[in-house]
Amino acid sequence: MKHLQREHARRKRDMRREHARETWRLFCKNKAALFGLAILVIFVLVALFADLIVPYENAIAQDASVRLDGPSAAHLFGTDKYGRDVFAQIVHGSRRSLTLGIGTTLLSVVIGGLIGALCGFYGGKLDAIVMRICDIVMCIPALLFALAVVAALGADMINLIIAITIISVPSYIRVIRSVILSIVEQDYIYAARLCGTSNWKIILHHVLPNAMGPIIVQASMNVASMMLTAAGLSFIGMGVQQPTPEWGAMLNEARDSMLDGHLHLLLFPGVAIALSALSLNLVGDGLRDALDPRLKS
Amino acid sequence: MSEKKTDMPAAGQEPLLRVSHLRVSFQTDKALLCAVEDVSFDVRKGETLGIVGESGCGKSISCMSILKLVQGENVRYENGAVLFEGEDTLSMTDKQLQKIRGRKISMIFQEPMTALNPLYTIGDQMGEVLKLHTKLSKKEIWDRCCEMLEKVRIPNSREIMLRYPFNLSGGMRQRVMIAMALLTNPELVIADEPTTALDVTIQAQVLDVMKDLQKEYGCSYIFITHDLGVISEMADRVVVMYGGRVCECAATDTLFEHPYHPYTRGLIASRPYRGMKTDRLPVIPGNVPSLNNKPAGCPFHTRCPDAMDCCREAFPEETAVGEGHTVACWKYAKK
Amino acid sequence: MDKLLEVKDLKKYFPIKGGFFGRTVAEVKAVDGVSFSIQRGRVLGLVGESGCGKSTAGRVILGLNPKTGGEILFDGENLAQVSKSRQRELRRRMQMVFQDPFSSLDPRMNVSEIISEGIVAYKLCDTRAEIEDRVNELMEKCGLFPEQAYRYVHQFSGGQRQRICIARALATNPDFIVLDEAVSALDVSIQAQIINLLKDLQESIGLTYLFISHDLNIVQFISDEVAVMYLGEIVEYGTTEQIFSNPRHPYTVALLSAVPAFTREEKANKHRMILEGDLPSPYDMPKGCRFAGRCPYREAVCEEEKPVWTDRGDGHYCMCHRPQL
Repeated sequence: MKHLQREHARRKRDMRREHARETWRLFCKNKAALFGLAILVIFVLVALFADLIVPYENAIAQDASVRLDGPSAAHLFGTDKYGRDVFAQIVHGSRRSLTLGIGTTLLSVVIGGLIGALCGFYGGKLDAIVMRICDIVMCIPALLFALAVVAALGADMINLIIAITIISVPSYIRVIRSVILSIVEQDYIYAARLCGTSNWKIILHHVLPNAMGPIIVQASMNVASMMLTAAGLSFIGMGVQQPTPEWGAMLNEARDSMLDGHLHLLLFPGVAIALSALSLNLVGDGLRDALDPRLKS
Repeated sequence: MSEKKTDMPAAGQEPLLRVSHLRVSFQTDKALLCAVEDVSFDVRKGETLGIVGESGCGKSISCMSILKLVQGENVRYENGAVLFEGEDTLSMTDKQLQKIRGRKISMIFQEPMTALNPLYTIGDQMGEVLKLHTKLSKKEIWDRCCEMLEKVRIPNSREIMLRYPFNLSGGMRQRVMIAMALLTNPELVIADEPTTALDVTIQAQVLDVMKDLQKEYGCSYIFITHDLGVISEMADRVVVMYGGRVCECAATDTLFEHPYHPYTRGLIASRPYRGMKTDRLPVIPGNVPSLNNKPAGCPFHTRCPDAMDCCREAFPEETAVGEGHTVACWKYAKK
Repeated sequence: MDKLLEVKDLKKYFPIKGGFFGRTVAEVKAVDGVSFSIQRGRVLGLVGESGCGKSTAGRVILGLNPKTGGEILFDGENLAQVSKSRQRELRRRMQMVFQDPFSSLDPRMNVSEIISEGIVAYKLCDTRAEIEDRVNELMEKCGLFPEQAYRYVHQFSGGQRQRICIARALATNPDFIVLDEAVSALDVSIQAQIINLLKDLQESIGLTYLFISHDLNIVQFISDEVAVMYLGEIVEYGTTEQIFSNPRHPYTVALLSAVPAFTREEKANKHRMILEGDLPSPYDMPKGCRFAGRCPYREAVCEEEKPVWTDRGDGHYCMCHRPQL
């Protein structure tokens, strides 16, 4: 009997391992996702070890002698109108930008996912009320709303995240609710209820895992727009405060200089935002497919 | 049923459609999956050929291949010929096929809701078929459509013509599909599980309509189904398929009374009937093989009660065991 | 006699919402006053065409949809009147197998997780090892191999999936199982396997089935009693022998004659009764007999008055105005 149990545990462990291996294999088969993952890892490493790459000083120290210089050996990405090193700003800005983009997205997914799941699962009055509130929030211009929140709470990183999360949550609730409405009609949800499983367990074990695909897609597409909203807020002085480096703020600042032909100011933060958004998109797609057991053989 | 056979043409006559050694595969990133291994059958003028088999046996794909309707980058027509009135449809261009599709050969699908466009009225969709294939005037087209709807026993056809598919019940929709398929007076109608989605009483109506129309127009049917009862009612001859191959072919009554192939026998025996004495149904053990792990040799050998060594190695030749009755099984192969 | 399940005047109306405020503008009477009972260890076949309310009836009995009216008594206890915990205990003893073996299994779970779900939720086993033993036992009982326990369901064929569904239903030690078209979606050669499995289980465990199906051949093979439903009502009830050899209601007669003949003998003996028309719209039911619109024997009284449920002898009930039929 003991032996049988050990045998059983071993088989289970093997299956788990095989499952993880298979997930990784599927992910690796998707070359684009692997590429996205590589970029993402580079960005995260840069954010973590920013100080080792280039001192923070370079990002904020102003030097009138090198204003608006193009890329050179001394300043890899050139300098801005105050003579600050763009490369150093990009490297150090990655911390805030990635935190803002990914942090707000994660927060929105969790909050939107839970509320959406509850609305889709229970329906009725709760659903009706939440949906009307969502409609109202979505009617208010996003930037204006965030502005009001930041103005009321004060401009710092945390409040910025809160503001951006509030405006993005309604769209998550809508997407997730509609996905969940189609899932709760599936027979396996009825079967789980017959098995005596409680409602919250059904939501956690059956409903949400099956809604994961669309949620991941929605989230990975939203990261970039989150960064840009944050940038917009920074631009009007309600976001990350100057001179703290942040990609969106850099982009906004570059707009005046752009007309004079200093394209590098626009190019580098723009590419940084685009690349990080793209990498998240690719990784999101790859994850969605790799996590779907139906695609495994 | 038996009186229907009297107007069947002599066996020596050239068939309307001859499918020979058809082989269709799908290229996936892992392997070449063969859905139809080697399928041959004839359809004579004015007869109903039933094709029966379980999911994945290749019955639908073989019949869709007649009109090259299985399309896509990963489809390979590897071998075989489909001779319709002496011409090979597999080597035709799309333009040539258009002239045959819907005019000389038409199709009825299982799900009438998805086969009809929900945004157009019944009249528009039926008229479209005639507009493509004939030079009739608008008025003539309209009258012809109404007449056809009445033939499939749809009351107040003029009103129905103005309705949308979602206004109609499942049975009505399927009858509209039948009317559409027969509008151009085709030589051959391929019906793919036409009554599977319908209730029994509605199924009886639809089968009745199809039989009457065949008597009137003299067209041939290929009737694809998994339901032995429906096959037995409709077909003059039956082809039994398994794992992408034909395992038995015979006249309907002969097949049901004297099946040879162990698969056909198993299928017929496992069907409950009224007044059955046993407590348990005789079963064919095992599962229907999927495309990517089809057994070598005879695909049925893993489930066959009479499997021999040779069954694992090669697929047997077709052997004639009676008048128009062939079977592909090593048990009956001429040594 | 020992009635395991008794249903009295069960009603399920689905509201049709309309208008700006989502008021109920009409009702679809999916199940409209259905009464029957099933003896312990017997099989009741519930037949009818799509939309007649047979599946809804099954779901309402199991509490998957709330009922609009009527009573459900399980093992003598009224499900609506017992305490919450007692109700949960009674519900444990009632299970279901669904029609579609694809949509009724969560694609993100492996077989072991699926089967053990009920065992865990009802705390039927104490340790992890006990649960695993129980899962293995259930899998073997249903013709699956225990080494497949950690596979995902998409790796199984339709027949094997239905076996998993049956194992899941058995996991909570039920007395009563609703089989909602449980073999309809399967291949012909697999249908027979599953029917035999269901019969084996019924005899070895002493299960009671409500067998919902539109396939009359299978119903007459597996059922002890049969109820015929038409538009939310049971129009005829009797033993399998009574219903199939001596049908009284014209709808039952039509249903039986619509089954395709199989052998030459059947074809020769058969007299076809092809019904005219389709089912009436569920929004406006006829006020008399609901079958009157399609009935070949209808008389003036059929369209005016609702027929009553009468015993035609030996527990063979029928709802029709024509007494002699």
